[in-house]
Order: sequence, then structure tokens, then C-alpha cells
Amino acid sequence: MSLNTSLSQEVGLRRKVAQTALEIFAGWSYQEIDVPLLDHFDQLREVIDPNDANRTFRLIDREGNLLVLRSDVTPAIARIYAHQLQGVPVPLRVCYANKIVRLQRSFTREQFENYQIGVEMIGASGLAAELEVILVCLEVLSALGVRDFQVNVGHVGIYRRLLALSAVPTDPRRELTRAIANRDPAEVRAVAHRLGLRDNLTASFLALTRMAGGERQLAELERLHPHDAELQRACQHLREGAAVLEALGAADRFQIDLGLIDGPVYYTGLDFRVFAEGVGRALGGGGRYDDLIGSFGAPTPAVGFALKLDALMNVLYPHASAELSELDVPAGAAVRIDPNALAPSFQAALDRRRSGAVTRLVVRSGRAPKPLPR
Amino acid sequence: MRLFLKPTNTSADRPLRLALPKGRLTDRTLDALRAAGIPVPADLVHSRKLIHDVSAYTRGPLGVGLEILLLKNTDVPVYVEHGVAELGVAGTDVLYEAQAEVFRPYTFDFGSCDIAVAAPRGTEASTLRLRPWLRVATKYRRFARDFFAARSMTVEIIPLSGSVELAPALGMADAILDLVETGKTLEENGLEIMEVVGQTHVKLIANHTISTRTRRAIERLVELLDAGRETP
Repeated sequence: MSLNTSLSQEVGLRRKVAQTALEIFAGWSYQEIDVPLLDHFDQLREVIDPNDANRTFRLIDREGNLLVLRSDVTPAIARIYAHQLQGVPVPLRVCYANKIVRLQRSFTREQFENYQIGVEMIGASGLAAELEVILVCLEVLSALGVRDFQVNVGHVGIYRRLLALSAVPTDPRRELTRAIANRDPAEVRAVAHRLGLRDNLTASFLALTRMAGGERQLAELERLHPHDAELQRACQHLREGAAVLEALGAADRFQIDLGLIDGPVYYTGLDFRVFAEGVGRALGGGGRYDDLIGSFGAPTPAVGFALKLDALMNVLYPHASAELSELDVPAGAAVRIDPNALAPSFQAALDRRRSGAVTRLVVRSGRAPKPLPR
Repeated sequence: MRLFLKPTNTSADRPLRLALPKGRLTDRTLDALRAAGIPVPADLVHSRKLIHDVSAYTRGPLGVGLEILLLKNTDVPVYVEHGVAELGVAGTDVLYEAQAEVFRPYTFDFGSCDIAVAAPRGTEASTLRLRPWLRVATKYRRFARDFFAARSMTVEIIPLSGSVELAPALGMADAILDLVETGKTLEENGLEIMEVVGQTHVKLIANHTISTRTRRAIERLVELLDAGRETP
């Protein structure tokens, strides 16, 4: 098993990226929150997908409780809010840059560790909160200089409603979800045929697989379900969101994409995914999760997003050296340490540090000190 | 504000890349493209070149240029998943083994075939199932593993990369799990199908992180392919 190590240059760049994001979060009035590294597994298991649960790392504490290493920040924050923060004024805006540990497939290796950088807005329902987090996300990507990024916006509520209308049992439901997420109309048709779905439901699921989503996709669903208030409402919700993003000049940056249904299982409404063209994997995503906090405490609506630092690094610094880079030490930073007069030598170093100057100690041997590496 | 800078146009005119598996599927894919009204030349594959710019033929009907890459079939999903090629053509058997996360917007009407478990002629399927330690030779390790695990069968998977039919004849395996097109190869090697356990289809695949412009081009391509299928 290979563990991720990163040295000097990459570490510095990672910190810079995380710092930029956190500054922007602060600029939108999000407060940083610290999420515990260990959590009780039993509670987490109930709210996440069994496949995701299998990819976590678990351990047993001295009392025999099953603990889990932080594998996803959002459920952890939901739990902290439900147990400790109920009663603080809402909406509560929190942000984080945290390491997570879970087994995930990556191009080159089985990868265990990653950083999630994100925000959660708790206690706010409605489109305004969703647009806010999307705009925060877009600002971070712009500020980082990610080229040709795009955000695709969907609504898992629409898919859930279609599932409820068609009463698909659990197992085929997974197949159907997979087929739609793969935008595979032939497979959707095959599953629908096996289940004996009504024509307008089959057509609805097929509509979700359209590659070029957009208004046409919404119109098609509305046409297929003219009397379903819940579906109509969700479509209208997305349409309004799209109109606002367009009015703000982001028309080139987003697309409505109702096939976006394979995010975390706790998403309940509008969801989105961000990526840079041609990079292969998404940079991150977000969505509304109105039922998650309720599974730990009082029901509370919430929305948030997270970016994957690894994926961002891949886009921003594809050639960042993983080797130890040379330190950039300014000329004149060297302070010689005389082994026979340690106190005065260190005094000189302390004086220099007090003035804030970069200092590098060089122990004087008989010979002249070697020049600093260039 | 920087947030709403227009996307850079550097990529706007770049041709899309289509990764094709060298061999039989390439010819049939090119046939399907021609039937769809995209007149790519047929002699493309006869040269040794591995990359062919056919933009001159695609800009009209598709609105975008196209470059064709010729690759080994198992490499196609790798190129597409990494985004080096936006599009590819691959069988679901290959996609399953690679666990490729790619869009599959179109299924071609050629290349579908059964995945079957076959054993020496005269073997009873029921006794095969009851063997305590069944040895199965296959090119499809992951599929075989998942299939037998779902049936709670303890099976030794013998991974091969070709001529799988030989393994039972030489006593290395009790059965094979393989694609069956005509059944002729099975027959000539003294094997018969015990059970059909799946099906493969040939799909047009696409990378997940494609822009709206590319998605529109793909949708157009799918429409043309559909229309081409209806009017042979």
C-alpha cells in the first residue's frame, strides 16, 4: 500500500491553495470549524452510502467502540451542529480545510488521503442559499486561476420524485442510478423494460441521460408530468437559479444537467459538480442536504460544497515537483556559528530573527563555509 | 470582477479526439459513422499512423473537428477517463474490467455478444456448480470474480489473455468464462456452453469533464448515429 507523501514544493503550493480558499470563505463571512479526526462509526453508518462506509478506515477504542477516521466532512459537521451548536443564530456559515482518509480509486494508485476544502451553510433553505455557495465556489476557482472550469447543476429531488412515482425496488434502483449517471440510454431502457415501467416514466428517466441538458431537459420533464406539482416546482427552481446565474454573467460557466444524481446519498435537492475541461475527474461538488442534520437531531436545512485539493493541484500545478526543492534563501541570510563561542553567535542570530530577517545558521568549521546552493 | 471572465477560447476550435480499438471494431465504427453521414475515409486504418485528423469530414455534419486515435482495446477507457480523448468506443466487457467511470451515450448495434461459462462437452451444469474448488480460466478476471462471488461459489480464477479455450483441454481449468460470438471456437475445442451469464455491448464512451460545447457535439453525433441506424 502506498501512502501519499509530498515534499517541500508541493506542500507549499497546497497550503497556498487552501489558504486562498479559506480567505475567500472568510470574505463571504464563513467561520472556520475544526472537525474531529475520529468519530463514532455507528451514527455515521446510518447516513452514508454502504459503499462509502466500506471505504472508510475503522478502529476500536479501549472500551470496544468502533471509531472511524474522518472520511467525509459534511456528515461530521451535521453531527456537530445537531449535538453542540443547536441554538446558535442561523444561518450558520462554516468552512474548513481538512484532511480526510478513505479508500478511493485514482488513476495511478489506490489513494487513501485527500484534502477537502469547503463550506456548509446551515439553517438556510431556498434558492438564495444555494446560489450563495455556488458563487463562493466559482470565486475560489477563479481566484486560483483554474482555466476553463465549469459548474453543472442538477436536482436530485427530480430523480427521487420519479423513483417514487415508479416504485422501483432497491436493487434495480441502484442499477437505474448507475445507468443514468453513466448517461447510458440503452441501459436505462433495459432496466425500465425489466421493471415494466410506464412509458412516460421510462421517457422521463431517459430524459435525465441527455448529454446536453439545459432548458430542453426541464421542458421535456414538465411536458411528461404536467400535473405533478413537486416535479414542476423542482424544474422551476432550477430554471430560476439558472436565470440568476445568467443575469450575473456566468452563462458560460454552468449547465443544467439533471443526470447529476450520483453525489452523496444525503443530498436532497439542488446539487452541482465543478470540473475543468479535460482533466478527467471532478474538482468537487456540492448540494442541498435537508435531511442529514435531522438524522442526528432537530431537522435543519443545509447546503454546502467541497473541493478536492488533490484534483485542484493536478489542474493548477501538473508539474509540481515532488522532490525536495531548493530553499529560496536571500543573500546575506547566513549567520556563522562559531563552535567556540556559541552564545555570541546565537545572539547574532536572535538579533537578526528579531528584526524579522530570514536566517540560516551555518556552523563554522575550520574552512570557509560552503556557498549556499543556488 | 474576475469571477465572470469568459472561458479562454484556446480549446474552442480544437478537434475532439475519438479513441478507437484497433481491429474489427474500428472498421465497424467507421462504417457506422459513414452511415450517419460523416464521410470518414475507409482506408484510414490501412496506414501505420496511429492518429488521423478527419476534421475535414466532420466539421460539416458535427460542427467540430475530430481526430481518431487507434489504440489497444483495453487502453481506450484509460485515454478517455484521463481526458486525453473526449470520446472512445469500447465494449462493456472492457469497461467492466477497467471499472471505467465514463459516460456511455450510445450503444452500437454491432459487437454485442454473450458472456458464457463453458465446459468440456458432456459436463453436467449441476455437477459443475457443486465442485468444491472450481477452476475457471478467463480473460475477464473482475467479472468472473464478481459473478462467482455473487453466487457464493469458491472459484479459482485462472487469468489468461487469449486462447482461453485451450485451458480445459489441457486440464488447467474445469471451465472457462468468455465471450461467445458464434460458438464455433468452443465447438472445435470440445467445449459447450453451460450457462450464459451476461452480455457485452459496444458503447460510445465520453469523458466526464467535458464542456457544454463538447456535450452538444456528442449529442449531435448520437442523433446522427441513431438516424444512420434507422436508414441502413
